[in-house]
Amino acid sequence: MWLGRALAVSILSVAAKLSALEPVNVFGAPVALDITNTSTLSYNADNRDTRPNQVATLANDDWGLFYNRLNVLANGGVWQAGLRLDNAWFFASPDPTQIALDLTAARPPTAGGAPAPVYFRQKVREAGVELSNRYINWMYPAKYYFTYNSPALELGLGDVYVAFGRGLVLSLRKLDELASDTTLRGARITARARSKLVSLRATAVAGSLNPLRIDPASGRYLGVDSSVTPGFVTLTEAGMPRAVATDFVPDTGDCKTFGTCSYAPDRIFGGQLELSHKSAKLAIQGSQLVRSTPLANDVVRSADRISTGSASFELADLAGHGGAYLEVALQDLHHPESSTPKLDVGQAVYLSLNVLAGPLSLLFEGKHYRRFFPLLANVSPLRAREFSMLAASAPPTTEALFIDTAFEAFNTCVSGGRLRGDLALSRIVSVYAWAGYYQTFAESLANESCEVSKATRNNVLDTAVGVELHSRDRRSKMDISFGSRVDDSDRALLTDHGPTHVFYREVYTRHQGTWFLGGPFALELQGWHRRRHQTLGGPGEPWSEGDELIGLDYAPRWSIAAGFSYDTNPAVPPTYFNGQLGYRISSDSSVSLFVGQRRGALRCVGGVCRVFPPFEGAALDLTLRF
Amino acid sequence: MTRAARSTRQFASVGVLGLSLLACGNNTPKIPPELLASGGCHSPDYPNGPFGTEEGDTLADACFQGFRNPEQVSHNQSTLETIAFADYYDPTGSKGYQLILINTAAVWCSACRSEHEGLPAKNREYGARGLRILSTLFQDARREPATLRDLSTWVETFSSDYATVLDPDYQLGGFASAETAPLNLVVDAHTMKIEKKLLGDQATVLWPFIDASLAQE
Repeated sequence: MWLGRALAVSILSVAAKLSALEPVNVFGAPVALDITNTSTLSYNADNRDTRPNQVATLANDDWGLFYNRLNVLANGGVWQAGLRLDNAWFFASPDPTQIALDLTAARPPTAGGAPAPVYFRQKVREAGVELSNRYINWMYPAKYYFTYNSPALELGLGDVYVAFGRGLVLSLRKLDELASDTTLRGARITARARSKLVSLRATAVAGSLNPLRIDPASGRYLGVDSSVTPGFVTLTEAGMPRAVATDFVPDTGDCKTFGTCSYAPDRIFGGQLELSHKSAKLAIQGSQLVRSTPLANDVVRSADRISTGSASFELADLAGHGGAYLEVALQDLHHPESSTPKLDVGQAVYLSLNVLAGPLSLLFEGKHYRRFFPLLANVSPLRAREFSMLAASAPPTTEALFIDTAFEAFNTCVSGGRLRGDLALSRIVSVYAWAGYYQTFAESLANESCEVSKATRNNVLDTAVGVELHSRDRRSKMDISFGSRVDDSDRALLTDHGPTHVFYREVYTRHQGTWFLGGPFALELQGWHRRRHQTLGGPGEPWSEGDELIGLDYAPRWSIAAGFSYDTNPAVPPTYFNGQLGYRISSDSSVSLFVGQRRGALRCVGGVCRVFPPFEGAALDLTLRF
Repeated sequence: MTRAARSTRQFASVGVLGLSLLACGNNTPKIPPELLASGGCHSPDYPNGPFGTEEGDTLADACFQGFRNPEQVSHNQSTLETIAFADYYDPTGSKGYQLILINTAAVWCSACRSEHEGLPAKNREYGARGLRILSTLFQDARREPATLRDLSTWVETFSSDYATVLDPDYQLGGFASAETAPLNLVVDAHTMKIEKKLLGDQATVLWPFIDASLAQE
């Protein structure tokens, strides 16, 4: 109680002092300072995912974190400088011996098991290795940059974002929904020239890949060592988290065999030349990814050089009736090991066509990819599996942003497209529908060489219909949709119940709405309910899962919400409850508290996915802007 | 103390964080003496340590219950036999073993299933050249420890013609976390050193590597 009161008093006292910082003079010029600090205090209790004999399911219980992100931005008009300093302090963490004791005590009697002392020793060692790069305190400069902007020249030094075309060649950006923020630490220069007829823009980038190094959801961090930071990477990795030796993981001096060395920064070089005339834009872009020691042996991460190039053409305005975009790309993977077969050059074609006709708008997106891989970062999935989907590119999926059912390497060898139509029936009602059809050859089995045949093919049909309702004053709105996915394999899949061609089935409904209740009150509702069946990789029978969140806003300060989730998959707990309370101190500062349970899930945004582990506990977030 | 009670205690510790920072104490868990006994699976002829889990390290011996030749026996308790890594150790080449492919699999794992569709053909292709495959099944569809019934269904579904064993304890957990299955270890049968360690169904990398390694032998 006293702690809560003390916290409330502290927050209110800080809130009273919050105001924009006065500009300061630097060499006679005014410089505006903007400081934002975001702190998270969280405690993860037993998240109910414990499985017999599995260390990782106990290693994610009973840990606490204080995570602070300090952002300082100095704005001098044509130039800006910024720093993001991250600090993780783990005030509680599991003990490897205790994990082994718990597993030994809960060990089910099964045939083929080792004697208890052997089992105990194995689990102590396994837990020790598992915890060697988790729950370790770090403070490091997550991002820093200096930019200069003028009409003709744009210069960025330090951490820069890059997105060439539609992400086939290079795409480094921030995705708040996935707590992902990957940049290129190096330099970016853009020059512009303009004549009466055309304008020209040239961009060049060079640097090393810089993802966020600490995953607050798991407490895992990415560590480097000196064997993978040669040359200028020594500079870009200065002050970043390092691999550490522990009682269970010795320092071998080589990242490839050093058990807590989980990251070897890739060097990336890229360029883009863009020629524009009115709404037409022609561009060529290319990137080369150069690896140091590969930390994984899969076909993409074991490549020491990946060259990708594309040409794109965009008509942003078709006489007021829409737009079109076409991009054609090639990719070459080079492997140092002679035993790895040389793959044929990968190809990708992406097309987007948008048509506007009065109240009707149509969007068609199509793709044809062959051996076209995302530029997976040089992360060891064995040592830091939470970061295994980290990539420097994001080939378009053409699917709805939330789709998380493109399994395995679906998007690396696929042809298909999706057509979406939106029709405004009136000012308050509009309806939409889409249908997507894809043939993928890398979903139901590994097929890196992209062999196109009936034996490798899956046929996927993804459809949805929905309605959007707005109140006359536009303050209330509701979006409800129903969708389905039918995914069949041409090859008979072997199951315990006999062969089948059914690979995946799903029907679902999604809704999101805000109702203005009058006065300062508004009600918010958000949900996604799914019925799923996955032949390979599922629980063996259809299951249902869903999330529902209901919230009440008391403008302008307070919000309160309650969440409920369920999952009939027998491998996970059936129900989850949580509550959230938010208070807006000012337009940029807020405090929020989450208490309860959250389902573990794979979350995707436009084909970029991340696995979030189940959470059970409490988290307090405080954002202050000065 | 039960896990639930300990969780509650640790959860409450957040509220008294300030006080706990000031407190000192020894939280080292006590290990019951019966768990400190030595022993385990060991063959006197097996290479000595140090053992490790990375490429270049020597693989520690481990024992399992399973079917050495599942296509030749009925699949029940009476036909289970103890199978150890040591059984495949062939320092002089007298057994004709060159490489061992140690593979993990789980019933819930889609990549494991698609991988095992092709393993019998690979076993026939490379078995004559000195490759031995040993697959360990560690979990069922609900991610519970695999049972004899799961093992029987597995070898019958995929017509497995290579050694397939139960690993309900997940003894190979030191090599890779369960959720990253399948794991494939290519081990030199002459030295028991790990030559290649692969996560996932990586046929494009795995089989050319095995092919090249066998060609060098």
